[in-house]
Amino acid sequence: MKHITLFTHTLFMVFVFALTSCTETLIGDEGTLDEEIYLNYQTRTALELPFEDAWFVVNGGKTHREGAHHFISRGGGERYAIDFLIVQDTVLGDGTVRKINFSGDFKQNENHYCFGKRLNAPGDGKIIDVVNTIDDNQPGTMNRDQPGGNYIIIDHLNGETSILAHLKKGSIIVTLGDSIVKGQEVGQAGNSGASDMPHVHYQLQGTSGQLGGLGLPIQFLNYYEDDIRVERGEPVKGQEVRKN
Amino acid sequence: MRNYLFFFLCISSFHLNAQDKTNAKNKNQLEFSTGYNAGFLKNLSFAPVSRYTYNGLNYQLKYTRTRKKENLFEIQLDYLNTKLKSDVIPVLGADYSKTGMNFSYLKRVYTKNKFAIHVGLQSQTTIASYNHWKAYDIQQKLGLAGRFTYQIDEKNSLSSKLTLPFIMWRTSTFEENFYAIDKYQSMLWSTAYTYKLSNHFDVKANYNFNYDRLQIPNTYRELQHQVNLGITFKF
Repeated sequence: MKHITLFTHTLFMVFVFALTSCTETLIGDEGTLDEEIYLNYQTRTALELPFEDAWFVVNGGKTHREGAHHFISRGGGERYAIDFLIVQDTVLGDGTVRKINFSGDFKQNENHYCFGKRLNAPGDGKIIDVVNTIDDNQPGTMNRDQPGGNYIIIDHLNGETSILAHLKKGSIIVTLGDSIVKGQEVGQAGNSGASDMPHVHYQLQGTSGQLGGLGLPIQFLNYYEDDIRVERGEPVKGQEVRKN
Repeated sequence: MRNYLFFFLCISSFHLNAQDKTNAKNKNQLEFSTGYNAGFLKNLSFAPVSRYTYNGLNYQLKYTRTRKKENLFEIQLDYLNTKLKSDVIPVLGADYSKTGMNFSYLKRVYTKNKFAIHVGLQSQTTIASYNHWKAYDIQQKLGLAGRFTYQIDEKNSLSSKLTLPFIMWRTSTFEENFYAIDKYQSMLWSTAYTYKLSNHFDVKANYNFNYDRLQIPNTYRELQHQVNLGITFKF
């Protein structure tokens, strides 16, 4: 009896020790590249904001709160994507002032300040995909079957690719294979695809190799964040950003 | 952490005389146990973190019905509420809660003297919430289960149960998919020492090892060590 108890204790301790020691192996090292990107990635392309005037960052940043739904969408390369729209300080009925993105009837795209505004190429490159025929949604509804809606993909020819999505139907003025330069007009903001109000979705992702398909942090050069000049920075939710 | 857990388990194993006795007169057992959980999580869909760690109390409520021919029907509820931590990117810490419900039916296939073996199937449902349901992950698993019981003497017994899930359906903020054993591997191992206090009450010390591995680009892996103390009411 005594021997059985001793044997049981010994076996138990050896087994538990083995299990606790193999944590490293069982959890594995996948994700160290993701951590490295999060902490240290420097955008290769010289990027500028893809619009004129001042736009508001609805979703953008490197936390779950700031990045919102983008941050938990690693598979689609959206982890660090940014949603921009235009707001205006608006006096509400109770006298408070809030930043509102439309005036009048919310359900009319034309009542949203950013709808139809000019969009530019954020960096030099080549157009490798264009969709320009998807209907704009009525605000409050969404087309989940064609999540990007009308979009363009720009290969920056350095391992990075830009995607501008939810553009206005028929507004895209570049075509497949075009070489474009930073600041060149490419289309207009719209409300197509998985979008329930007019805005522009911008994401940067790796083209191939280890980074292929992974969302990358987006650092723009020489712009203003809430009226403060930034030489190189990543827009964050709640900021108002402009080029000049 | 690892050394602490190991030390704790050693002390537990030396000071708790085990047992697990099925009283022939009592066909039902209701058990409540609680204890320390040490967990590790990797969910690359949720965050670019190669390993979260989490600790905290976990709670278990288990009902066992001994049926004809000593076959066992078990229902088990598990609950854990904690915080995910990462030393590499502390700003991505998150609230995490996990609820599990297991059903199993085990048929006695072998018995001799003080030794018994049961085998059967186990269904396991786990619901995980990140940051108060801002993201969620629901997993439904089905696996093979085996349990052995060794009656050391009248008051002490030892039992161990191993479950190997082989299919999983996952619906979550991140994806919805069905996985078989080529991409999904898992193991749940539980071992317990039970001491009979009376005809109606037992006390129990048990260790649980839970592991899940999903081999997809958005890697998901989770490992849990749990050490629990519990009390069983037999009726």
